[in-house]
Amino acid sequence: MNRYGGWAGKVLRVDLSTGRIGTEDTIELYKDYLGGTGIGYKVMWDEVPPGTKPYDPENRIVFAVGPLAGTGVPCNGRTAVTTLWPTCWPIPLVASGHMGGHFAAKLKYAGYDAVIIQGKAERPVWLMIADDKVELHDARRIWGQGIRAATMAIAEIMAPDAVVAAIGPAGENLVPMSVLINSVSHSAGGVGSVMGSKNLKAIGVRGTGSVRIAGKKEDWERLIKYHLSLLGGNNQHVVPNSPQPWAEFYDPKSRWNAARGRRWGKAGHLVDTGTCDPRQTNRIAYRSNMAAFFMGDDVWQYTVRGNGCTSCPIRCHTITKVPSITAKYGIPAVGQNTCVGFMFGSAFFKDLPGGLRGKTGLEACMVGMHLADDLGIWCNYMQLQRDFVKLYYGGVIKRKLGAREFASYPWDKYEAGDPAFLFDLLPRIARKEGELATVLGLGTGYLLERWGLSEEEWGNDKDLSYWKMGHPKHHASEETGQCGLLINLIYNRDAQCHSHTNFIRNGLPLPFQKRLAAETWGDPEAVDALGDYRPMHPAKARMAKWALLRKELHDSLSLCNWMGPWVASPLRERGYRGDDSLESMLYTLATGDDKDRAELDRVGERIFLLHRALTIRGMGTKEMRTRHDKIPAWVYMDKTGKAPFTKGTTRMDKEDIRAALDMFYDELGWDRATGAPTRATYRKFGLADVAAKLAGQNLVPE
Amino acid sequence: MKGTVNDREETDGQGRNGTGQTGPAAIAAAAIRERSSVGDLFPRAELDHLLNEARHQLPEGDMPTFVARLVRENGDIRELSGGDGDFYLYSDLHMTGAYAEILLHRRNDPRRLIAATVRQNSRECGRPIALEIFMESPFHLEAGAVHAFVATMAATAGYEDIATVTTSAAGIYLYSTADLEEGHAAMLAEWFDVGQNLNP
Repeated sequence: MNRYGGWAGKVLRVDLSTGRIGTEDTIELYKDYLGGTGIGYKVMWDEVPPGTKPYDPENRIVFAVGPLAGTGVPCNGRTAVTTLWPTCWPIPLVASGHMGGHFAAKLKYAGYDAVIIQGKAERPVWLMIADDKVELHDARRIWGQGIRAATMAIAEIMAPDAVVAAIGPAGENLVPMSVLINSVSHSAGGVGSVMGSKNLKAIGVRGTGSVRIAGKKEDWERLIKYHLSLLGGNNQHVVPNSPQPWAEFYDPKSRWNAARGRRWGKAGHLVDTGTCDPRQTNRIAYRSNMAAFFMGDDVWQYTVRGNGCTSCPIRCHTITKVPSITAKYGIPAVGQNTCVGFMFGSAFFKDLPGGLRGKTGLEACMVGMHLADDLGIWCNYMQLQRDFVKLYYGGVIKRKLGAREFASYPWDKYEAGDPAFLFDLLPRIARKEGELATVLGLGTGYLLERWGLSEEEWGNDKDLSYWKMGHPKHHASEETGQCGLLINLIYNRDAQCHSHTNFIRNGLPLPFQKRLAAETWGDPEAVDALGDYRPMHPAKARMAKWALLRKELHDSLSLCNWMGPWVASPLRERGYRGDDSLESMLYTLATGDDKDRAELDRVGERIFLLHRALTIRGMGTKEMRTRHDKIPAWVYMDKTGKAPFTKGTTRMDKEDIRAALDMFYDELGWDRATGAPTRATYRKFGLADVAAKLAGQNLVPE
Repeated sequence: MKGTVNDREETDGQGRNGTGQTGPAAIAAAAIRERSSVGDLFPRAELDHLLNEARHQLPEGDMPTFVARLVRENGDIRELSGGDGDFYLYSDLHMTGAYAEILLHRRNDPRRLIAATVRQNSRECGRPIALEIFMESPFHLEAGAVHAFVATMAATAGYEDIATVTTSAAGIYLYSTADLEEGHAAMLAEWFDVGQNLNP
């Protein structure tokens, strides 16, 4: 009997090879890893031997949520999907994708904290989870269909309120650059083909239960209201993007872009987002319009409303309606997504008539969303599009393709900036049709390898944003200096960490950020002015570590690291302080397992440490500093020749970064020479058994 | 029958006095606060009309006295001079002084408003700002006037520090040379206009 709140208490295990379905005890096996990526890494460590390939039946794909999923906590809609990563180059290593939507809550309401998938079905199947009724169903009728049709077909069988996470043709055809999507637009990038390799088309979930909160109802309600009071706009930007009557500050690049006169033009009735005083917590959903943020203010007139995840008031997926596209492109007038998902189509073009943010740009977004979110193609944080542009305009595509295949693409349409070109490209990627489509679907690392191109060339080109191992940077040194750089070293795909960048972009003037930095990381020198970076400082290493631990905690609790953490707030009366103890307060009250911030951080560090151990085991070397934690050359370049630590450059200094790595490894208890955790560090976090196994293979520093 | 103005009114912030009735000062304060909450200044010239509508009348020429007392007795009510003989009121419970200044100067001195905004952004926030923001809420300046000012400001006495930088996407950004170096401003403008869109 689960004595804790928060957790459902059971993990579902499905062996597709045997058809066997069973449950395990969450608390007994995984409580020390919380949920989400914590469970994912633990399963991968315990069950997937080194040398396993992503598409081997022995690989696991772990759908895991945390104790806060399905509760009333804001921004709790995240499901972590952990597996061996097919685009991780040159060796597939462990990584995770994270989808929002409503899958996480439904899984909890059905009574499960995770679903572990193993083996390979003989024929296409889909998994039905309806409370304690769990069955594998024949999926041959929906195999080959797009994500939307498959979702509708399964929902028709299960119930209208079922949530379906499905792959499209890209995943079925083992295109590594493929996604899994639930709730129309909420995707976990990179994992589609792993599901495809197991012949698993989809998971449908319907849950009629609830999540028990261990704490008193009135305490819980008070804490939720407190959390809501600290929320800003999208990405926890805590000032609006234009002067507002109530606001002391504004920042034109803030994603809090509501203002009087900015209206949801296609809402069907007049909806003015208004001035959005932060004390009006019932108007949080009006604060951000991500489509308008990315594609320009003209998008307000096409906005229907915001869409988002369970219990999240931010609503980052903007629903847009562009009636003219139906006749023009033959697709629905309504689409929804956010960030790179929203810009999937427009990002393929170097330029478009009227500019990238003009009407044609919006049409390209609509076409791109329509195709990619149905075919199930992943953009790898837009590296797919950047690669495509470079390969085309660099003449590589023409050189590498046979004349016949090259001529099969309407390049005149592409160069003219016609979004209809996407119909000629994206379905072919999903079907691996021809050489170009096949290489684009491999991911950058394997693309470069197949076409004999140099990773070094990609690493020299700052505009490509390429980082390492087949993946781009994701909020690196360009705006958070050494801190962002360190964060981008660690993972086996793009870092997906927003803890640091949400703070730096929160919109508060530097003196306020420095004051909060001093309170949180012990010294104001943790943060620099944008484009005026100072030499490495121990507080920057502390901030980098904090950012990683917050990310792992969020991914394991089912909180959204895109919206948190909440170190700053929009409240002037609080001196713009947020509360860095929110995660531990929420965890404690939900589960009844009393942990303060430091104690919960130690759990986060254990989870993070296990990720490092998996990487070391997967690579078969402890030489992480030289073999894994690589930095692209463009980090040390500046087009104007400016020296590091001068105003107006993001250029880093090699000696300084060496010192940064030393400080970072010190902070984490990792060996400076190798970048591998020491035996004492593993032991400190309860992973002595992990250290022992690694030591047996000489993978722990002496 | 119209009421007359008492020497002093105590109100509950909703425009009601101790007896639950609404006096002219209470009515005025409530109207100013409401206007501020939606982001507008309250022209002093509208007070007469407001009080008339509420069946109150001030003695001839008594408006300055009334307003002075209104400000004195309501800690949140502020008055700004438009510089052209007009006065405006707002409540700092709902509107910052900086915002009120924007509303004021967009009416009577847009050039000064642009320069002040650019300088404040450079000085306090270390950033150039896009020219477009002056055409958007709450500035709402006419595009032609903004471009005309920007084209002439370097040669205009008192505005020599206001400089522009153009990004690779043709975005025009403004900054003050007193607080931002040209190279730094150029890098930041490029990051805001181009770089951030590629690194969302």
